[in-house]
Amino acid sequence: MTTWQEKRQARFEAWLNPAGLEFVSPSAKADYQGRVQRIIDAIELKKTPDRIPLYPNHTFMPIYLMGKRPVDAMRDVKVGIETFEKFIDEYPFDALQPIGLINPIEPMEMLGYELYRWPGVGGVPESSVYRYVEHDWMEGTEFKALAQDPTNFWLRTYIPRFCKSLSAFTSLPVATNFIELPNFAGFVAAFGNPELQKSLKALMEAGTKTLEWMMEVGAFMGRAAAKGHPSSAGGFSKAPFDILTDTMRSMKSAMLDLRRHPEGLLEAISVLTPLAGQMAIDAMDQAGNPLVFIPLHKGADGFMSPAQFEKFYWPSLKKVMAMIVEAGGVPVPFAEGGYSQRIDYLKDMPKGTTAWIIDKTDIVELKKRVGDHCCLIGNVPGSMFHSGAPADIEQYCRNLIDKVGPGGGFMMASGTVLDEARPEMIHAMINTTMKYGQY
Amino acid sequence: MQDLTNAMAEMMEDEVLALTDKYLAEGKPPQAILDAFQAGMAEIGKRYEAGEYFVAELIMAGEMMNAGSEKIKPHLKGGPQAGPSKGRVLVATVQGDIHDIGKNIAVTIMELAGYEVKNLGEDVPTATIIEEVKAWKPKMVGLSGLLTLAYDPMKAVVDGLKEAGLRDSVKVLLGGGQIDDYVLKFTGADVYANDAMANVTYLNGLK
Repeated sequence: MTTWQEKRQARFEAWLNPAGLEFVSPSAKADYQGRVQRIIDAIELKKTPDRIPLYPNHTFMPIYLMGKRPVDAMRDVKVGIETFEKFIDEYPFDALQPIGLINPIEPMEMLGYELYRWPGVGGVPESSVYRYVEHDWMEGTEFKALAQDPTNFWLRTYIPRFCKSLSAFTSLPVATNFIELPNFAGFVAAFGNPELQKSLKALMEAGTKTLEWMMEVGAFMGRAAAKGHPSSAGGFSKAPFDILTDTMRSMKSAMLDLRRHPEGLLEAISVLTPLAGQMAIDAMDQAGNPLVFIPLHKGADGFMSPAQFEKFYWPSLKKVMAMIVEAGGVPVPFAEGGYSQRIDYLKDMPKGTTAWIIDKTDIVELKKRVGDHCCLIGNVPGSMFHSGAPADIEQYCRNLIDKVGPGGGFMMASGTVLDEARPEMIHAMINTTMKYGQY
Repeated sequence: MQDLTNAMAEMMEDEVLALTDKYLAEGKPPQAILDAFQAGMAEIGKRYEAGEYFVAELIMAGEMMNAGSEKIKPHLKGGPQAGPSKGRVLVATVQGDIHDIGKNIAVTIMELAGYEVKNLGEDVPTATIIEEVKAWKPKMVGLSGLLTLAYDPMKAVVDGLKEAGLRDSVKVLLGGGQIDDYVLKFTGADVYANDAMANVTYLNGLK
């Protein structure tokens, strides 16, 4: 039987030597493999890397840095790709954050997608970034229906509510009813419904547009890799509690659910847990990159009590991470906000298997308490990139290098996901790390 | 009515509403019932400050308070006899930002603490905030924003208050998950708060 250590080794090998990738030059290959190895060394904690890796943590930053607006890139994939092409030449991070995070507006409009608003829509300024629409997309009384058959719930209840063009999905037949001859006509005839056909057609057309966009983005990521820039993550997943309470229940309702619907909430969490793990594994299989980005939200300090964290948040997230580790992957949870009350949980995965992105938690304290167990990424304050001076960045980074860098297990990054930042501030982080971050 | 106050403090929503109905049916003075709610809120505030309660409890407290008030209001003659306002507070999510959750929690908590709060909403133009400060004369203006895009508009409000000769008449507090000393210095505001109770603590300390 293959152990998780062997599986992970195989995934690291595949990441270091991507099948079918032709590098543009021997030096590009050396750059690529040097960067991947640097990141692997920081994660594994077996030896120090040659230098502290520079890990990207942003959404629209490359676009703002190149003087464009997010909306320009969301409307025209070529604008996004051009800015990212320049960005990787001018800002030598050790990995490239997938450009797919930007997302195309046109198919969202075609689907009547209402889960988010984008620049120029619903009060979001043209110069800004996309925003989630705070709303109860499901009721607290529906957790049990979700738990009974999540796919059915997604298709026939949840999706029709936030995609106006897919509203007829409420009349989709239940897939598991398609058994035996007596059910043939009933199942297939449902697709004769003109309204449902209209919804399916809308989805097909949006699918075509999005696939075109994905092909361009995928080709760019391939070109970037060939020039020596590995991708910063291969998969994405979430804490099951966050899946339910980020974009299904509103913030206010989610907090009330803890007391009003605890049983239904726990049932739904339990059903979603293996699905969240599998989502990550499927993605890293496809991407050939074992890192799985897991942005954490409602589990941060302040929202819920330690007892609620222990009951509603951590056990399921831990299972998702354990599934990823067992499959040879590397969970990269992003502890956005503060995690000062949760520090000991960072030791729950096996040593050298997880890399935590740290925002406002005291990273020096974390280094002392969990630094010999998991890799830490961060935590140059997002506010400093906007409101500070390059000298502030240099000073902050040097302190991180001195206090968090020793022994390895550290990657330099902003503490939060950056959008706008001044060029000299990003250069200050990169230059300081290059100069003082050598081991 | 200590049992009502206790039920409130212990987050027993159903019991709070049942006791409210019971006391109203028994003909207890509605103002006394409302006072029991206020006492419960005060206890919740204490527990929040002590780190025993969290945002989840503040939201539930707001829910219970609102539901209770709705039941009690029809029985009050001439409206609730709230104590004198502790002062006026103007709040807004600044131009370019539409985040409202944190701001709205802060508004609830400040109102429950006895402040008269005017909430201008989200994506509020700088000029509107300045005009409101001029006309309404709050003791503090709270500027909210989650995005780094909010820092420049926050600075614009502070600068605008200076230009209008209003800066010395009002304190400016910043709120938002990413606000820290750097943003405070950049904007020239007086103080920032990373949670809703910190607002109240600051306000209570103002003369």
